[in-house]
This record gives sequence, C-alpha cells and structure tokens, in this order.
Amino acid sequence: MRKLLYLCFSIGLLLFGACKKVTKKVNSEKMFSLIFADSLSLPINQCYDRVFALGKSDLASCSNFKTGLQLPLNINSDSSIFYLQKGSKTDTLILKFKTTIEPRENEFEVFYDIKQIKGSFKNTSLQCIPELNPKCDGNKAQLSAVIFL
Amino acid sequence: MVIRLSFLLLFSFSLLITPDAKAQYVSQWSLDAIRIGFDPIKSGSLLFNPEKYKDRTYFFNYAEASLELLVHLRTSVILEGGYSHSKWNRFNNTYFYDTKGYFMKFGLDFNISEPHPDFEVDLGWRIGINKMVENGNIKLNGNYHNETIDNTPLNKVPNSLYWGEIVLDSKYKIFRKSESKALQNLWFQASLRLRFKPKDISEGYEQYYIIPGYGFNNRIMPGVHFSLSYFIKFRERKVYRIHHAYDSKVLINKRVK
Repeated sequence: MRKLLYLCFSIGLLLFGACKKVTKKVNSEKMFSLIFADSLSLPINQCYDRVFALGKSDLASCSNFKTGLQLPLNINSDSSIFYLQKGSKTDTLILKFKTTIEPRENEFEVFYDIKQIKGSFKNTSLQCIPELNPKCDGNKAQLSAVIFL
Repeated sequence: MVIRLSFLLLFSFSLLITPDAKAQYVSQWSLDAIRIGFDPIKSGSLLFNPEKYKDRTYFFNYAEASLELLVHLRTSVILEGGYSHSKWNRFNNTYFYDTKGYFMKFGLDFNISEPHPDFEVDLGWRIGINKMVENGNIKLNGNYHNETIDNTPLNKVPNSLYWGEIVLDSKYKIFRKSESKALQNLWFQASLRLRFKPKDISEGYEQYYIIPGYGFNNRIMPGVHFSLSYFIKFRERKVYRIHHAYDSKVLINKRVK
C-alpha cells in the first residue's frame, strides 16, 4: 500500500519535472526577395558593397539570380526602408505593407500584404511567389519584386 | 380460564414462528459516515507562483477537495469541487495561453467490492460544471529589426461548461495496523476517470485548449485522480433484523454496535 503511495507521489514529481523550459525563439520576420533582371528580363546576380536598413546592421549584399536579395520585413510596422550602397551611389527601396497575424497549425504567422514599392529604382515590378506567401493571389500579396536594370 | 387460554395460545404461536423466523443484515438509507478528502499531489502546485514558470511548456495551479456521504450500505453521494489555473506556452514562446476557473462535480459511487474494513472498489458517475475565464497573449519577435508584436486576442473571456464522468475508484486504509484511531481513519484513493462532454467547443482558434476540471478540450478525456481522505463514522450502518418468514413482519430490529 505504501509503495503505491510513493509511486503516486513520484508520478506527481515527474509531472513537474517534465515541464521543461522553452528556450527556443522564433523569428517571425519574412524575407522580401529583390530580384534583379537585365534588359532581356532575365534574372542576374547583382552585388552591392553594403545593404542595410535604417539604423540597422548589414544584410547580405549579393543577389542570387534564383532567390534574389533577401530583405527582412519589419513585423511591427507598415513600412520598411532599405539602402543598397555601391561605391558612392546609394539606392533606396521603400516597401509599404499591411501585416496580419494568422494562426497556422503549429504557429502564428505574420502575413504581409505589400501595398506599394517605391525608391530610387525606376523600373520595378511586384511579383507574386506562392512559395513565399501562401496568401499570395494575383496582386494582393507579393513578397518579391523584380528590378530591371 | 381466559388467562390460561391466552398463555396457551401465545406458547403455541411462539412454537409456530420460531423455526421459521429469518434473520438478516439490512441496509438503510441514512447518513452513517462521511469522508473528506483532497488531492495531495496536484494541490502541491499551489505552493508555486505560475508567473515564474511562464517559460515552461505547461504549468498549473490545481486544488481539489471532495466530500463523500455514505448514505447506504454500498452507495455514497459525492460532492467534489476545485480550482484550476493552467498556463500553456505554445508554439515556442509565441502564444501564452491561460485559463482559470472553479468547478463542481456531483455524483454517486457504488461499492462493487465485498464490504471490507480496509479496502473498497467503487464504480460511479459524476456530473461536472465549471466557470472559467481565458486569456491569450501572442508574442512574436523579429530578429533583424528587433521588433516585437504583443497582441492579446483573448482578454478575460468567460465561459461555462458541463460534462459527465465515469469513475473507477479504489480506496485503501493507509495505517491498518496503527493503534491510533485518528491514523486508522486515513484513507488513500486512486481513481480512473473517463470524462466526456456533449458540447464540442472549437470556435475561435486560440481558445479552449484547457478546460478547468475537465482537462484538454477533447470530446473524451481520460484522467487520474489521487486523494487523501479522512473517514468519520457517525454510526454503524448495519441493522440486524429478524422478521417473520410468512408475512415479513419485523420481530426484532436492532442496530449492531
């Protein structure tokens, strides 16, 4: 009988012990993909000396012709500004968007609805890539843009 | 003459009934004992502050007490009540769900084992009802811009729910050989529960993960309960009764001490 009692208390202790600390942190920012294309509309590799956001540290400065230049979008704002520096020339890219939080199966996901793309680039086109944004339908939600150089 | 005849009749009557009279133990509907108990294992969680353990996957403050009224040889009326406050850290520190509330359960237990002074197995049922309040907080982080979203989709949302339970309960006297009467009245019980709720509440994605007194929000929810109880006997339940074999007329009705 007492053994059963001890067993029950051990189960109780195990229950407490099993609740481990959750240390993992999830980054909810999503990357905006900036693809560069030549005059024939073919994607190209493009490198800058420095790519950064306002008051923030450096980002990857080279664009891959497949994935483009990855720019993280702010989760708690309606716009993000990026600077692309090459020699003495600095290009700017301003993205205006609306964020929504939506529940997924195992997470809460931030969705971006890009409303406007502005900056020093003259010829830009928003692209819809469903792999980057499941909500992507037509022109409603784009997470990438093509810049024609 | 009349007196003699009366004695003769009485004597003949007694000769007639004695061999055919039957004796039996009978049970009666009366409050003969109570058992007061509490959950010693889960109630220990009340010593901890749940705010301190927010970064744990799951943490709860839980207390439950019960009152058993032995109203028949094999039947008890059960009243259970408690408090539950559960915190669930979901999706890797991004959703902090919190539910708290009070619950009450009413039901009957039937002793399905042979009556024994040290051991008992009961089968019973309960009807449970609770009153609960839910809170939910979404916290999302953005690494590069170092921004956070602090959103509260649930803020003290009240609700109430009822459910049923099937109970299989075993009770043991802890100190059977003790000479102390107080210790002899201490019982330990372990019970298996099968809870079911008629209403499926699933509206709202971030709601109804944990229901106080019931468990996780599943249609059928198993559970295990432990209880430490004190047995207080008011009087013996058994009545020794001798009744007439033919018309069941009670001749002797004596309470056994």
